[in-house]
Amino acid sequence: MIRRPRRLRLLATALLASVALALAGCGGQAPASGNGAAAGSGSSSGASSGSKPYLQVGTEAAYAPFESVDPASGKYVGFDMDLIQAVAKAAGFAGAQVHNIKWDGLIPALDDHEVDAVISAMTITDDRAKSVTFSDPYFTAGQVIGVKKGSPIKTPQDLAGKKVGVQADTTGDYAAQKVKGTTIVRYPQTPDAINALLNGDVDAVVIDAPVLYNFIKENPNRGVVAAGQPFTVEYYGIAMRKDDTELVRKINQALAKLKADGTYQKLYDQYFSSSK
Amino acid sequence: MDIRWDVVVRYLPFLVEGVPMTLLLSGAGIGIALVWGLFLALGRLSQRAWLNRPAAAYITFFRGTPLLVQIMLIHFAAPQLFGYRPLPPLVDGIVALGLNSSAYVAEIYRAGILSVPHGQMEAARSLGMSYGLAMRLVVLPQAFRVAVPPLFNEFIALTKDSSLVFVLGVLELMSRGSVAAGSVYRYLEIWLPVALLYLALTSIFTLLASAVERRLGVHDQRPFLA
Amino acid sequence: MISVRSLRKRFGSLEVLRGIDLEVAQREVIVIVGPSGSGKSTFLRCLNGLEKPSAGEIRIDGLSLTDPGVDLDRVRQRVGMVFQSFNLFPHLTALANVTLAPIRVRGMKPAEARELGMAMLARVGLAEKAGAYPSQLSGGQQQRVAIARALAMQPEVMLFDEPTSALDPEMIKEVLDVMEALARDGMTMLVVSHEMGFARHVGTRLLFMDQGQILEEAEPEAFFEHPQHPRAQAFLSKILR
Repeated sequence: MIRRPRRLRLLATALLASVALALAGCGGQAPASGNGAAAGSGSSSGASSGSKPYLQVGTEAAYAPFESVDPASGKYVGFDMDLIQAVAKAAGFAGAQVHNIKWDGLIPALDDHEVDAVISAMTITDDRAKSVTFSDPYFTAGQVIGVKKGSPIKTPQDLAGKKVGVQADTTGDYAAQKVKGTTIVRYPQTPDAINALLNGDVDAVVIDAPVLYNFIKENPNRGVVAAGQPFTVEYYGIAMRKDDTELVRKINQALAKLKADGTYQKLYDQYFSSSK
Repeated sequence: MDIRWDVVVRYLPFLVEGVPMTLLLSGAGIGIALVWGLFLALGRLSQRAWLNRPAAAYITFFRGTPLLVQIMLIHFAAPQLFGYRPLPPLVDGIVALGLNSSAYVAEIYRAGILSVPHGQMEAARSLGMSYGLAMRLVVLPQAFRVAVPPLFNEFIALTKDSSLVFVLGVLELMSRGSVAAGSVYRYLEIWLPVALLYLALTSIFTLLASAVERRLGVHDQRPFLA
Repeated sequence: MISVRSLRKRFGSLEVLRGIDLEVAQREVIVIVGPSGSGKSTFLRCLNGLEKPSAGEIRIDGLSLTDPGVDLDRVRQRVGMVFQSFNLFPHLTALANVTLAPIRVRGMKPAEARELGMAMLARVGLAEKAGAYPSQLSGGQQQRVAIARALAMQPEVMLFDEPTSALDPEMIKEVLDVMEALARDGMTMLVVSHEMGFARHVGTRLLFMDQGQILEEAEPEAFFEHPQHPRAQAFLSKILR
């Protein structure tokens, strides 16, 4: 996802606000993520990890289900948070120490050595790659079509002649515009578009895949399904300083290891399995 | 002066396309409000509790809750509650604007009716007119004259409020402005034309108002301070 | 023609009319005097149903106003009323004021109503003001239009509720002259007024009301010369100085 429209993140948080509690509860059950939920600053220091250092990580914890603050415990939770704990350990750290930093301040915090890595559902873009080095992609996001169960719409081409709901002026809006012959109905917020779909005002929505998946997961009985896979592709990466090649290598190795041993898949399924 | 004329030129047609939608929304809303508001006002003035109470409750609700909430309730909650297929967003948008404005228009009418001296009703009744006939032929024409300026105020407000139906996916002038401004990040080039287009719309109302006032005001040529 | 029996009217705890009995014959001109608050206006307003009596009976031409099923609109068509404050319809011309009820209540054709209206305006001497709006007329002219308006419904009885007390002195006479002419033509009239000249010359009977009752009933001349009731005497001494 292109994280330009700030309000998108806010609404995603609002939409999924209730998810946070549930995640906090099951975070510990995911075997690979270990004490992922215990990543709060300093809380795990002095544990059995001996003299191994902690990886200092920056995130903006306002984008469930990737990163958010569990209102009950005050801890940082979400897919990114569980993943970075696992990655840090696999890379030889004691764990990750997470710092909650405003979005605009994340890359400056890297430059200032305040943190050594940033994981914050950050899309890999050419622009950003000029100032940081990204790890290999750890998440494929993009725009996906959401429809009501039983809809004949399966692919972007099927959208021709249909009413398609989008949040005005987002990557979903742009993606839908590229499909010929659609009637685009713009809404102020993503939940408005989803409600319009439920109400029958539009035939489909084109929105951020994680947002749709989470809606489906949280509302399995509302009859919304994803039509196929995301049809635009955006990759999330972990950002590091350009000169920190050693860390980049370690992190990439760790990611590859987690993907190979099935840890990553378990984490992914925990947060994003759209199948009931 | 830093003004990107190319942006203005590029987006102006897109913005202007929103004008007919804004006109349709406010015009149809006003139409509903003018008629339905009158019934509400008469109900509100009635001595009969079964007319008076519901009218008062209606006005309290529609004046006391945000228009955006009413739009949501009408388009999303009502079909769910009463089990009917949702009407097209444009229709529900117009209905919501009309029902909302009716509450304000009812109070304007009511004030207008109350401003007509009681002797007018009595004189009409003494000539053998029924209450309804006296209301229609004698009281309302005078009440309407008093109501014209605040009515047009309300209509201008409604025109501006019509942007709230954006939430139903109805794209009018204001929401086109949002979309355009969001994509180019040039606020002056987008919002100034939007402001001028609104001004043009509301100026039509202002002209209409003075025309109506001139027509209705013909019988009273006394200066304000005789 | 008019028959009133033990009429009572109460506003909350205040009893404004406390048992009025009155018989009025055709062509009579009854003048009602009394201090303010004596119930004169309320009595008059009861006679065309503008006030609903609390008790008692009113019959006009055999039709009972106090019968619960009575069609008051029909009664009012027979009973014309002229108000202290004229109550002309400001949004209509003098002629339209006069023709409105004949057209909309009686169902008269506009051309016919227009003819009638012009005749009525001529009767009050204002034919040339037919196209004027009330705000363009003097008080006296407005009241004469109001009389023409009531007459256009061709009532059998005319009620006048202090018709001249809102007028400047120089306009009183033009209104009284119209009323006098009306009486000469045989109209049955009830007039609440303190115009002594009118009462003496036009009135056939005079009622003195106080505190919701008719205290004295007499020939106008006799009343002014020799009031019987002490309160009538006190009242007269005040208004005659």
